[in-house]
Amino acid sequence: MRTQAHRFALAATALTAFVGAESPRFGPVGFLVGLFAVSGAIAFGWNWWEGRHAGPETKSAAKSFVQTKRILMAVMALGVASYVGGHATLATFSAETSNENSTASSGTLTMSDTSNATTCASFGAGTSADNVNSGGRSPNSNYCAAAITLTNLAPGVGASALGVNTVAGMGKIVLKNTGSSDGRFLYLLAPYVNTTLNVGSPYTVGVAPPSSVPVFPVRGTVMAQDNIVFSYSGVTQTCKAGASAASTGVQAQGGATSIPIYGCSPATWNYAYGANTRVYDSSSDTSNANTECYDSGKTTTAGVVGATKGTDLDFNEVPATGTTSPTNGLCQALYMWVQEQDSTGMNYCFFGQTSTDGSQCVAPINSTFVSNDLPTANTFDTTTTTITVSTLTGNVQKNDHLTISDGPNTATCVANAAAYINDTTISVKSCHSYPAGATFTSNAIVRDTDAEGLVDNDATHSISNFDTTYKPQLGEIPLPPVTSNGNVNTNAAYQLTHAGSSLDTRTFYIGVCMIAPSSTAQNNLQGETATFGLTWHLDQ
Amino acid sequence: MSLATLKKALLSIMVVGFISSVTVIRTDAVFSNEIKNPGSTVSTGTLTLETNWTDSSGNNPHTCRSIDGPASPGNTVTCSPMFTNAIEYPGSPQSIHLTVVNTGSEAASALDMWMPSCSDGITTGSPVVGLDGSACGLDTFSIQETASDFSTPVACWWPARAAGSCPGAIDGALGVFKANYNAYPGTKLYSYTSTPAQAVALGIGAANARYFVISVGVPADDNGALQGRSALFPLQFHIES
Repeated sequence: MRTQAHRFALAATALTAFVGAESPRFGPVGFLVGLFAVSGAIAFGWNWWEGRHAGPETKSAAKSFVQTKRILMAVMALGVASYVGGHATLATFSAETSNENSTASSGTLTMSDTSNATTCASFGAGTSADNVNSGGRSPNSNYCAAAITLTNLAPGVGASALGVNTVAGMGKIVLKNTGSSDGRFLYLLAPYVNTTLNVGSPYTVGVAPPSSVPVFPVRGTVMAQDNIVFSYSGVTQTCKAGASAASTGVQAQGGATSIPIYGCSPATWNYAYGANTRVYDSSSDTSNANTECYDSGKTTTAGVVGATKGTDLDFNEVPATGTTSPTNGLCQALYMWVQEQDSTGMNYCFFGQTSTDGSQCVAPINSTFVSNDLPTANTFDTTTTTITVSTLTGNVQKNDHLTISDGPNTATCVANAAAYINDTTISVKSCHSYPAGATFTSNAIVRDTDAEGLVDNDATHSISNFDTTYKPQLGEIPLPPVTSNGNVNTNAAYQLTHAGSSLDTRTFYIGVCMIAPSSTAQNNLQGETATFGLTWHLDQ
Repeated sequence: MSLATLKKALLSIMVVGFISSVTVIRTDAVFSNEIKNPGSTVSTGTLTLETNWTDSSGNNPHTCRSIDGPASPGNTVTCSPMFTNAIEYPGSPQSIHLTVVNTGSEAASALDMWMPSCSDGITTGSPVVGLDGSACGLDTFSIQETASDFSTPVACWWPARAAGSCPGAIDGALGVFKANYNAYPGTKLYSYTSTPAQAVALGIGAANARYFVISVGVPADDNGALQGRSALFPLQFHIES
């Protein structure tokens, strides 16, 4: 009987292997395990029963049973291995495929910036090899253009003041995700006081930094003991500004071409910092005196041919030099607004005073009159009409009061509907014209006196305040996508999606006008120039 | 599990939790990029004033520029008198031809003129002095805006305010003017808020200059009360953007 048990076990094993290999219904592993369990149980039970009832002659067969178990285990192992180990067909014919050299490549997250028709990229020539383009230097091909250049600004008046400005009244910046990855967070922020190294050959790793580093003109003012950070290719090193721990006061004025440093950590260069190395003052943007915006000098060219210019005057501020702490009075007196206008014309004010209806920034206009659509009677006229103007470089809120002036002729109207940057018409009502019968030519200037009044005392949105409030790491302004006038989608999964997608481009407009506090003389700011920058940051 | 092992496990969990709570405050993205637009510049314009005057014959020219004054308070200057205390006779007022020019790069939205004070005095060397005459109170005074020829009337600003020519001399107009327009702000003679409203009171440059004939005199019907008497008064001009 012991022999029969062995045979039964072997037969069960063979059957298990056959059925397990061929059965299409059962899970192969489960089926095998089940059959082995049943077969083993039967064999074991049989063997146990025989052991209890066998005679002496059958006990000698025990050794044979041990051998049988070994064989069974080996067969089971082969069966399982043959099933689990592969599906190769063991036949005369065979075939095999292999997929080699699988690769996993990372995407890219890069950005371009088109400012007034000049485009720069976050990488490439002139950058610090860390996907940061700190602006570069003209004529570098990857130079980031200034967001705005305004001349001849007057207090309380929108750009293109009284029609004598020589440039457009606002800046336009188009940001584009040029990478393959979506950008989750897009920010606007104020730069630290910054510049780039101006060295011919890179510094040598392991050598102590010099007592002063040559740089391109510093944007802003560096104070003693400030942390001066060198950054290139993701490597940074920090030093202190000044000659020693005893240094105090200004160490480098705006426009300076060297910065004294000491106390670097580590004590020797940890990288071969060279051209395009970013150098920034991470201790800056703490007060009006050390913002990245700085009063850079008196104007040397008159805003109008033949007129007085900054250098003709002795009563305007003299730019700080040497160790003089700057006042940056003009930076404090410049109101700034940043508004997005999407491809469908929807607007959102990201910085600046938001209009009471929430749909736009308070941005004084200063347009010229294109068509004479105004009623000419000097009577209260409730007729609603549409006037055609030069492209708006600001906004008009519904019910704002407008003034249209052309020499001695003046008209006042009320805006019948909101108008936005880039519009060329304004719906107006309730117009008066002075004198009666006055007509208006294309020389007429259209201004929004309500908007001008709102800006006049708004120091909250000065460039100085922008710099000290929205500096890196502490107060970036998030830029969720616009959904309608005055509304954004703060829950949007991505704020600047990959190149070629529907949200790969965002367009922002920047405007500046001069705050004119009532009863405050600002002659000290006549004929002055202020310089400032903006930073756009995109995170995956 | 021993007590020591349990402690280690719990501490590990606590550390993991702490790190998580810190790092979720700000998303440290794997990829990021940054672009700066540096070097935006904003320059302010200038607003400076120049007055030029001659006598009624076009002689004896004077120029006064606001930028020639002291640096503080700045853009303010004191110049020589327009009326040089010439001897006047009843009914024959003294006039000057005044040209006001905005030499800055910004248009002025307001042009103001006022008379801060007027002081009666005795004409030096006069053999006769009227008994109770007050030149400041009784003299005539007019401000006539003209074309650049100083003869074609444009508007009268005092003693009336109207287009065209001023009316005839009015006794006491000097005193009334001083009483009404003696300080700044609040007593603007020409301003944006005046009627007719003018957004640009003084355009830029000589092409937009404004011309005035200002006259002061002894009333024609003076009976001698103003003999040997003088009026000392400054005229102040102001523009703003």
